[in-house]
Amino acid sequence: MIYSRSRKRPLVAAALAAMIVLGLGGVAMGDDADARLQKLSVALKEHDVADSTLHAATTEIGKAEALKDKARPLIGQRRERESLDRTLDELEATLSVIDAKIDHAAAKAELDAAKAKRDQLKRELDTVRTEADSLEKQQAELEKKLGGGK
Amino acid sequence: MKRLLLTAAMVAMVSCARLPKPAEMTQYEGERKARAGEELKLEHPELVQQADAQYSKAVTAHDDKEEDLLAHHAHLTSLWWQSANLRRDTRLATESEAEIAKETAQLETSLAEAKKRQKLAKSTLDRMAQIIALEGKVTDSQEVNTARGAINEALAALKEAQAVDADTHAATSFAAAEAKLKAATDALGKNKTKDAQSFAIEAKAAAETAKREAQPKYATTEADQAKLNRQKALFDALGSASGAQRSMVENGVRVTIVEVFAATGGITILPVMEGSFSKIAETAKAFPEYALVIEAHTDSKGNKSKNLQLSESRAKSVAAFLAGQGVAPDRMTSLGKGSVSPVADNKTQAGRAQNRRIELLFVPSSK
Repeated sequence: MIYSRSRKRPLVAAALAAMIVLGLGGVAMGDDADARLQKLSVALKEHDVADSTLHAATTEIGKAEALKDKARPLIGQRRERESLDRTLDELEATLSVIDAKIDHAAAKAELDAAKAKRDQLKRELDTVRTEADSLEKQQAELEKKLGGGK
Repeated sequence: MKRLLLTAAMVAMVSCARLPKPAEMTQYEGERKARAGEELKLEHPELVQQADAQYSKAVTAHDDKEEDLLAHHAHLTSLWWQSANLRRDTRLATESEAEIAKETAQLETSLAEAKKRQKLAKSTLDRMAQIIALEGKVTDSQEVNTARGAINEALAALKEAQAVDADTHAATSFAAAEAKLKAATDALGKNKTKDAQSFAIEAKAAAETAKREAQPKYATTEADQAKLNRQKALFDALGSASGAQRSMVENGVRVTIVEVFAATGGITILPVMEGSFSKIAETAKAFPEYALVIEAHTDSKGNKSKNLQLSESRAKSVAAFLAGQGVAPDRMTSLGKGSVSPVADNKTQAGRAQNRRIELLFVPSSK
């Protein structure tokens, strides 16, 4: 299973990174199909929870659920081995997209929030500067009138 | 015979006809060959390798005219490719956010300065308004002009005192100066010019005292604020290192990264983690006033002393990597902590994964 590291789900990311190193990625190993499906199902569940706020990957999660349901009855059926492998491969790739979409949406949300904060500060700065300039101008005029103010 | 030959030719043509390539495949071909495609491979090799592998299978299926297989592998190619692109976009968004955070920090500083100018000008205007209100009430004379001059001097002294936040740092003296100034203007309003001059002189002296009292505190506050701003900027900049959890600590920032090495015995940073450490190195170079303490921690599996040795090697490995990226070695201290400082339950796999971590502590350098 191949993913990039996830900021929001470090444990999954860590486990996945370890799997990359151990070379388990993308290989359906004989009787391990069941174990692989289990792992992918757990990852899917976690992604589903992680996406409950931003709903960035709703469509893909639906597709992954369908793939999971498709794979389950194929487990243990010799004749369906190829179909099972293909389904699991597709599920794995779909999960990778889901993971990336969730992280992307989170990063985008943070970016949007940062932009909003910056823009609000810019507006406030413009207002305060304008008022300060005006007050200083009035002050300079009064100083002239009083004659001698520094 | 002719009909037979024609039929055979048609059968041959049909069997030789190539399957059309799915749109996902042609789109991938176009994007993968472009420079951006090569850059994406460098950034996310594991994802692009998956896409490449699926593409190769799609090409084989295309050559073999296996329509179902072709569609399957083309789709998987597209999914892995999409995944890599999303990861790059995430990185770009994170980098933009870091830039905006810097801009925001500058804006906050400018806003604080503007608010101070605004406050100072407003206070000065209020004091001036008291004096202006006297115009017309007092007749011009030598004594009145002398008193006015003294009041103006007191006014200027108060303005200077407030510029170093004497109203906050030397509140008593500053309040006394303001009271004396008011007494001076009141006296002038009543044509008591001698009293007015006397109060004004006292106001000026009190304002100068307030300024003297406030200056050291003001300088310290400014320096503290500058340090705090740098600490915040450091915290924001470290946000660009993916997988890094940050926290503000006293005068510095702590960064925690888990699963940096291969699970068992590895002391070389995993290729997928190198990007994060490169970002940390960039940040460290941009903040030379901070020293780095690199602590490596293991889980509790295995022999304690071996874990300690392993963690020492891992801390040194991180320091060497950062040094290779241009961070001065004399700024870094590497410490192996073994398994003695767990942050999670070592009985569970997830807990052990959290305990296998690198902590980088950015602290003000004593050099």
